[in-house]
Amino acid sequence: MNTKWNLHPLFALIVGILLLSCLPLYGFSETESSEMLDSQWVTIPEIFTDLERGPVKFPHDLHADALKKEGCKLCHQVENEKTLNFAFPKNADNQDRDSLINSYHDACIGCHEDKRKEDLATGPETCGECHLAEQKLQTKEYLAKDHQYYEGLQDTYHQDCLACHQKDHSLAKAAAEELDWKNFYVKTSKQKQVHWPKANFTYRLHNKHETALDNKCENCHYLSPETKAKLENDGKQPGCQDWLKEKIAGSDFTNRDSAHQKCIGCHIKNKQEQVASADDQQKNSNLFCKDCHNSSQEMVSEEQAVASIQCQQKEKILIQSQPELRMPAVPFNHSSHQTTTDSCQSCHHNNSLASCSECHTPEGIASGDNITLYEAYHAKTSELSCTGCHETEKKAAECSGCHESIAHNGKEDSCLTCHSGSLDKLAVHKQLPDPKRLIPESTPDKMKIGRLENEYHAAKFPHLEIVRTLTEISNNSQLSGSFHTDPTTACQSCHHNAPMVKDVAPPKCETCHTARNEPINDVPTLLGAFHQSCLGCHKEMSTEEKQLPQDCSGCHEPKINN
Amino acid sequence: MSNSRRQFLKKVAGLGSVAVLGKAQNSAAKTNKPKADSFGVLVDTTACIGCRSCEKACNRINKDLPRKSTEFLEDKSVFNQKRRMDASAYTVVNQYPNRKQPEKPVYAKFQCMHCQEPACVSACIVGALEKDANGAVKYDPWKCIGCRYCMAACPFQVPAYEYENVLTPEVRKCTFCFDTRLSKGKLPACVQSCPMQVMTFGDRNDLIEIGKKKIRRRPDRYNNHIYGEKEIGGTAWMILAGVPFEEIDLPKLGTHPIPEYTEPIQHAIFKWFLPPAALYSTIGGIMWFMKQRTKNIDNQE
Repeated sequence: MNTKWNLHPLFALIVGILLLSCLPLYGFSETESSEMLDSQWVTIPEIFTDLERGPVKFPHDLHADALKKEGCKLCHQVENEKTLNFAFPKNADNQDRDSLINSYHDACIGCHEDKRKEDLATGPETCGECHLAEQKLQTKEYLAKDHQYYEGLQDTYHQDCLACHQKDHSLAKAAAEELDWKNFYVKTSKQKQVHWPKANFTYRLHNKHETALDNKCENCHYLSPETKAKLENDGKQPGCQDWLKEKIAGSDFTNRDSAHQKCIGCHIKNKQEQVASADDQQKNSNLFCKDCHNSSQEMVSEEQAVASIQCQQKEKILIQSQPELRMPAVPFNHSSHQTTTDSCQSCHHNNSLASCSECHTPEGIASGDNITLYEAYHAKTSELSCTGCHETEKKAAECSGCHESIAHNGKEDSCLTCHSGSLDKLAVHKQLPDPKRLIPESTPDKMKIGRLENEYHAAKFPHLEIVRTLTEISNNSQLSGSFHTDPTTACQSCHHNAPMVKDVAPPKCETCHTARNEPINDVPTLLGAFHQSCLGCHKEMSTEEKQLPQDCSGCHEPKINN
Repeated sequence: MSNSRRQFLKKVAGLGSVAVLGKAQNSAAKTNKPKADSFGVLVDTTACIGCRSCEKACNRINKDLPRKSTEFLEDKSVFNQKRRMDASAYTVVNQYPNRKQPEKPVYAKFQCMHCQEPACVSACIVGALEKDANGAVKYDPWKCIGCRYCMAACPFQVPAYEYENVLTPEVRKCTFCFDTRLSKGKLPACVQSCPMQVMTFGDRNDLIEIGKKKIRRRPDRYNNHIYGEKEIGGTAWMILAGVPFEEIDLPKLGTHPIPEYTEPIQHAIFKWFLPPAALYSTIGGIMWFMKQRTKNIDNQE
C-alpha cells in the first residue's frame, strides 16, 4: 500500500474553510446614523405582494427640516393652489407595479442626484442604502424605537413583538435573528396604516385659534345658506352647535385628508406669507405629524375651560332618556366634566355636538354603529361612555386599592346613585366623615392581628391611620364624592358584606372566612382573606414614590428557629 | 427436508408468541388515561405576590430534598434570573415584567403540570412514571433506569435529574404530595401554605367551572383562556393569567395529547411483529437468492 499522504485534498480543504469563514463579513455594512431611528416606514402598497428588496425606512422629519425652504409642495401635490394632497409620489399610479416603482425611484433618487450635483449633502442613491439589509431590521434597537408603528398591528404580531421586547437582552437578540422579516412585511401590506394617536385639538388650542383668527369661525367652520337664513330670521348669532353641525359638501372633518388640508394647508399658507406676530408662540410653524398626533393630555382649570369655548351648554343639565322607558333622569354637571377632559371630543366624539340619543337609540341603528343607548352610557370598556370613563378613573393607584379587589366582592353599583331624577341631588357633594367619629371608642388606633400567629409574630396594623388616608382620598376627589354616598364607605373597603351598627365594632372576619386550611367554595380561608385584603390593596396602591409593604416581614416579623 | 419437523415447530412457536405479545401491547396503551374525577389545581397568577411560601412549604414537606435556608427563601434577588425546577426544587416562582403596568410585575409558579395524558409516562420505557387515579403523576425510583427519556418527552421540561448523585441518581419532580399529604386527606403543601390563596385544589372539572366564573366576573383582569384546560389533552394544574401566557414562559401547545403522536408509531412498528418479520424475511430472501446464485455459478464451473 502507498502510505504517502496525498496533500492536495487537505490543502484544498483548509483553503476552502478559510474562504468560507470570510463570508460573514459580507453581511456587515456601515453603521446606521441615529437619524434613521425615528423614521417612518414607507407602507408597502397592496400590489407589492412579492418583495425583492427590504422595505424602506423614510426619515420624514429629517427631510422636512432640510427642505424647509422649498416646503411641502416639493414632494406633495398642491391642488387648486390651496389644498395639499399628501399622497406620495405625485401623480403615482397605484395600480401599475412597475410605474409605481419608477415614480418612487424618480422622486427619491432623482432628487438625491440633483442635490448631489449641486454639491449638497444628500441621501443615498443605491438600492441597498434605502432598502435596508436584513440584519439592520433585526437589531433590537430598531424594533424598540418603532413601537408606535407596531401598535396598530398589535393583534397580529403579539407574539412576534414580544419575542424581542424583553427585558432579558439575551432573549431579545436570539429571537430577533430568527424574525422572518420578508413575511412580516408582506403581511403588513394587507393591514391598516400606521396608527397615530388622534389629533388632540384641545380647548386651549381652540381658544388660541379663536383669538388669532379674530373669532371668525368661518375660517374653519362652514354654515349652510339655509342655517344662515334661519338664524337671521330669529335674530340670532350662529352658536357653537350651529357651526359644528354643518359639514362642507364632499368633505368631513373626520376624514383625515380633509383635516390635513384645512389645518396643515392653512399653516403652510401662513408661513409662506410670513405671518408674524409679537408673540413668538403664535408664529405659525410647519405642522408635522407628531405636533398634532400626540397623546398628551391637557387639563385646564374650571375658569379657563368655561371661558375658553363659548359653550352654549348649561352648567348643569338633566339627561332624560325616552319617556316611554320610564327611567329617572340623570342630573349631570357639565361644567365640572369640562375640567376633567381636554376637548369636547372626549365625549362628543365624531366632531358633532349632537345629543347621544340622536345616533344611539335603545335598539341601536347604523349611524350609531349599532351601539344601543344603554351601551353608549354604560359600556364599561369604552372611553366614551360615562361608566367606561369612570372605570378608567377607578384604575388610578389611589382608587384601585379598594376597587380592584374588595369592591368586586361587594355590592354592585346602584342605578339610583346616578338616576336620581332631579337636579337638586347634584348640589350635595358627599364628604365622608372623619373615621374617629365612626369607629367605636373601645377600638384601639393601632391594633395587632395575631389570630393566625404561627411562624410569624402578630401583624401590626395602624387601623385609624389607614382609614383616615382612605377617607381623605375619597374626599379629595369629586368623582368619589358623587358615588360614595354611604358614610361607612371607607370601612366597607375591608369590612365588606358586614352590617355596620353604630358604636359596635364590625363582626370578626372569621365569621365567614373560617380559620381552617381548606376554603369553602369561593370564600377564601382566614389566611387568604387577611392576605388578599391587605396585600391586594398594597399591590394596587404602591407607586414609584411610595412603596407599600408587599413582603412578609413588612407587616409581621418572622419568629426565629423557623 | 430432514429438519422439516423442527422447522414446523419453530413456525408454530413463533406465530404463537406474536399473537400473545400483540395482544399485550394493545392493552398496555390504555392505562394512560385518568379517571373522570381526578384532582387538579387552579393557579391564579394575578394574585401571586412572589412571597415564595410555596417553595418553602415544598422544601419542608419533602424530606429527601436538601433543606433550603430561610434567607434563601426570602431573598428577592433570585428574581433577577429565570429559574427552573431542578433536583433540589420541585417548584419555583419567577418574576416577569408586566407590559401593561410596569410597576406591578407578574409572578408565576412552575411545577409538574400532572398532565392528563402525560408524555413522560408514555416515554418511560420501564414504567417508572405512572398517572395515578387521583391525578398525580407518580415516580417510582426502584423501576427507573436513568435513561432520562422522560426529560426529553416533557413539553414543559419538568423532570430534573440528580446529576451530582453518582450511585443512586433519581429523576425529581413535583409529586402532588400524593404520599405526604393527599393520602392523608390534606391539601398539597404549596396550596395550603399560600397566603394569597393563589391555588385552588379540587376536582378538575369543578376547577374549570371556577376558572370560567372568575374570567366571566372579571374579564379585564384575566385572559379569556384557562391554560391547561385543553392543552396537550389537558393538565391537572391549570393557570389563569392577566398577561399572555407566552410572557410567563408557558409554551403555546396544541390540544393533541403527546402520546397520541408517539404511541401509534411506536406500536405500529411492532404490530404483530409484521415489520420486523417483513424486514428479516426480505434480508433472508436476498441471502438465499445470493446463495442460490453462487451455487449455480459453482455448478456451472
